Amino acid sequence: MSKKIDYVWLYACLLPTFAFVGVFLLYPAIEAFRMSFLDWSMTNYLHPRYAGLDNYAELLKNAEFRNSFLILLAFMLWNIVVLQGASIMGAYLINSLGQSRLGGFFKVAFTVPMVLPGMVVTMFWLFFYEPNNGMLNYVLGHLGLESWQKVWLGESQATAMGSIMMKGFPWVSGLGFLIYLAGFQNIDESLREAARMDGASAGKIFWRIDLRLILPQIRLTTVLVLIGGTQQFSDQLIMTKGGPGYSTMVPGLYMFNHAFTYGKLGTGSAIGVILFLLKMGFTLLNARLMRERG
Amino acid sequence: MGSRRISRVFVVGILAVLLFFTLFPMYFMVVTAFKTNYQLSINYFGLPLTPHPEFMKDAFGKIGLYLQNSAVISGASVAGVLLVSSLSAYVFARFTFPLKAALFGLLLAFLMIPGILTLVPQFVLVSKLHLINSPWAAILPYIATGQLVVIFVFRTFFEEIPKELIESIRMDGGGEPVVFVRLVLPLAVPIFLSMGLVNVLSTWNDFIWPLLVLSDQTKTTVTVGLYRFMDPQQIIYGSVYSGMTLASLPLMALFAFTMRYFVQGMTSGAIKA
Repeated sequence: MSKKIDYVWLYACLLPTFAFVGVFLLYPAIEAFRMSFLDWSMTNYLHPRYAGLDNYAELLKNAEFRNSFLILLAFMLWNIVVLQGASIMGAYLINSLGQSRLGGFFKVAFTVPMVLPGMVVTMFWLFFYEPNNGMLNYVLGHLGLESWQKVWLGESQATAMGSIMMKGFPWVSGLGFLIYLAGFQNIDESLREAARMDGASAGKIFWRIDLRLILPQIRLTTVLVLIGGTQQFSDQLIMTKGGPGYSTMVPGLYMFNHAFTYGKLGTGSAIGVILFLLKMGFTLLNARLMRERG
Repeated sequence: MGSRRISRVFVVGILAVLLFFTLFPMYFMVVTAFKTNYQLSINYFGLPLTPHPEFMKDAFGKIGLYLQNSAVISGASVAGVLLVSSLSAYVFARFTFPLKAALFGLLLAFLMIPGILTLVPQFVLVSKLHLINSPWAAILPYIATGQLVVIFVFRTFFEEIPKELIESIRMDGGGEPVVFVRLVLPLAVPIFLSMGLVNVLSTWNDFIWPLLVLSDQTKTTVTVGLYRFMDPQQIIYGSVYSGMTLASLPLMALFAFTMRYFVQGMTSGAIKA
């Protein structure tokens, strides 16, 4: 590229990107911090008042808000251990079928449900737990287990959290599944063959070779869950509204309620900032771990 | 070899059970769409003996408009994302210019800034711009966030195009726009498709944002429409499940022929956090 480049054209091509970023991302991000220091709600919408760290102090004093982080932690641990475990198992089993037609069939068949709209899936599970005509109580009734029937999403913290966690069973289909499948397929078959020659059992080969060689993929999906999971709350909003009581309330939903149901924009922004800092913490921790290994 | 065959049967057995539970909701959705409440109560899981297609018609009357709204919003967002990202990714891939690293760093930073931080201020911004209940309230922010990952993926792709190919077009007297349109875009069709499909899915599925900014019954998307459409007080299950089936059909049709690109897109976009 020896010719003199006309920088004006280059910047003109970048302009749309940065106009979008500036207006819809950078400005709101700055505003989030500014608004978090304001006493600003629907009652004084036109006259917000500077409130210093009041929003933060009130939030940190609030037991329900603090508790919501423990609930979030429980959901994230579940996602990391059980959901990842299920997709690792599914991918491993399919990969063990090799390049056969059957393997290809299962791969496609497990990928298809990924394109179902998320709301359709959630509505199916809402119906599954529905107390009167829902599938779970229907099946229990027909098995003669009427005493086990429950208002699953509203009875107690255990049933509500359990129900949200069981949503999506058997959790094989998904992004994690695709990532792990690619990981398993990249493992050189001769490694497994050599171990087999040495008399290693299938279980031992799985633990010693497969699982060890997909550690990068496990790390990636764990980071995705940790980083993305802090801001998930639609399942809780749709299925339980955080209830019964505050027993399935996660920080994101707490923010949504404060900002958009109670109209407390200042408090809502402060929660957004706290979640942002939490996420940055995870991201920095991850970067540090990467460096130590690297 | 005998034990290998047994273990293979065992593996297929487990996978078949897992697949049954994975696909079961889709089966149940389609059969229930054709049942009356009474039929559901006496024949819960089976195929409907006398199918009732009228629920489909009823559901289409309710969610047809939402489907149209979603198609406009997802379509415009994806077109915007691909246009805006391909321009800037090409510039980042092929040229050096002042502030290049800083500008790219800014994009990197926003990949890591969670949407939840900007949710409340973005809502205030969109309200102040008087965009509430306009499709632009969804499209513009979707382009702003959607482009970030796509720029990364495109930049890597554009950098891998052999310099010799580009030079050969330039030798023939083609300027940079000719290179872009005649060489780069045709090569990039698969990756455009991949990234486009991933963005269709994410915008189609988004729930919280349209719930906030498209609250009007006639303006909202199919995701929010379904949620509102399901009135738990007086449920006609055939109608609800018909609505769910109809809401799934456009994506199913779109992805039926493009699954390969979608899978590539999902895995290459996995860096998105």
